[in-house]
Amino acid sequence: MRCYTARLDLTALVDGELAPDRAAELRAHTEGCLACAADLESIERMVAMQRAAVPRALPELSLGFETRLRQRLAEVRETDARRWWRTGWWKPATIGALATAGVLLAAAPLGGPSAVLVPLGIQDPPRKVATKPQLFTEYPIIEHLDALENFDTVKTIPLEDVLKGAS
Amino acid sequence: MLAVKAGDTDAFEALYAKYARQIVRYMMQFVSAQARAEELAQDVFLQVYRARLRYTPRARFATWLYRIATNACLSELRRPEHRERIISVDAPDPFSDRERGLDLPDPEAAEGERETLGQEVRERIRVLLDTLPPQQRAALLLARSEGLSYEEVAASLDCSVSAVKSLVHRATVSLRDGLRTHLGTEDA
Repeated sequence: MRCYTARLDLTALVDGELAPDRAAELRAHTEGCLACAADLESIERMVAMQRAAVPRALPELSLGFETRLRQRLAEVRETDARRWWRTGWWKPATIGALATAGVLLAAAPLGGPSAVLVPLGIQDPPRKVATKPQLFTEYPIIEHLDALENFDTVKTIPLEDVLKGAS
Repeated sequence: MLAVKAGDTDAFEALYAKYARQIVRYMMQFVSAQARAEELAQDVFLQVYRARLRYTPRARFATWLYRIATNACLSELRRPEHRERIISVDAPDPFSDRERGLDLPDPEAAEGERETLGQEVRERIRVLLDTLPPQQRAALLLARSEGLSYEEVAASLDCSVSAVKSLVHRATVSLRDGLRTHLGTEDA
């Protein structure tokens, strides 16, 4: 064992934090090395002095410690409760429901809920739409209806034939 | 702590009744004034309360508690009033022994230990502890003053056991060399 590596472990040896085999190896080394033995002895004395110097008696807490802690704890609980009230799950749900109701009510003069629900794809369009497609001129699908009329034919023709036809 | 997590407020009171004085004692090694140490200790317990839902019992509760306490101490040391503080090795200590609880006989000291360790040496060790880098001071105090194993110290400082071994060794050697210089002897 080299002295350099041995010295790095001397404090852990004194603190009883080395594995037994490592501790035994280190002690054996210090028995044969005067310099490391002197180092070990000085560290043992330093550790003993430091243990004696640091206060081990538990301090008496000031009279208001517990009262103040309870006060601060109550403030934390109050803050937590307010935070839940602000970010509770019910809030976005309520806002969403009110918004939807508001939109539907606003759509009433325009022809009722259908005027809103149909463009959104939530409700099937009424029969009269087929006879009056101009009611749905804003639908992209209606605008490109011509392109879709031959869709069934297009999908059965190989692509290269389609391209030959285009060119 | 699991009871606290479940919402048991009595369990929380039992926790701080058990650990508050220990934590204050530990913090007084960093901030000296008991009033400030008590304030910081309250911050620690409030953090424990706020973090109760995230707590998982991977190690001893005390290890987790000392981790929060150490972080609080290290943050405190980063404050300007602590960074600017100049420690004179010859100036009288501004905090009396009464403030730090050193004037009372320590019933836990080994027989004859307090008598043989002079006042001057004890004061010198206190000053030297204050000059250690924060991580070294924390590791040394957790291991020697608070009785944590190196493994527990590693968990508290969020580092490896090898790192703790190195921190404690360097701190111990610094104290030893500082004491030798002060005493002008090779006795330490």
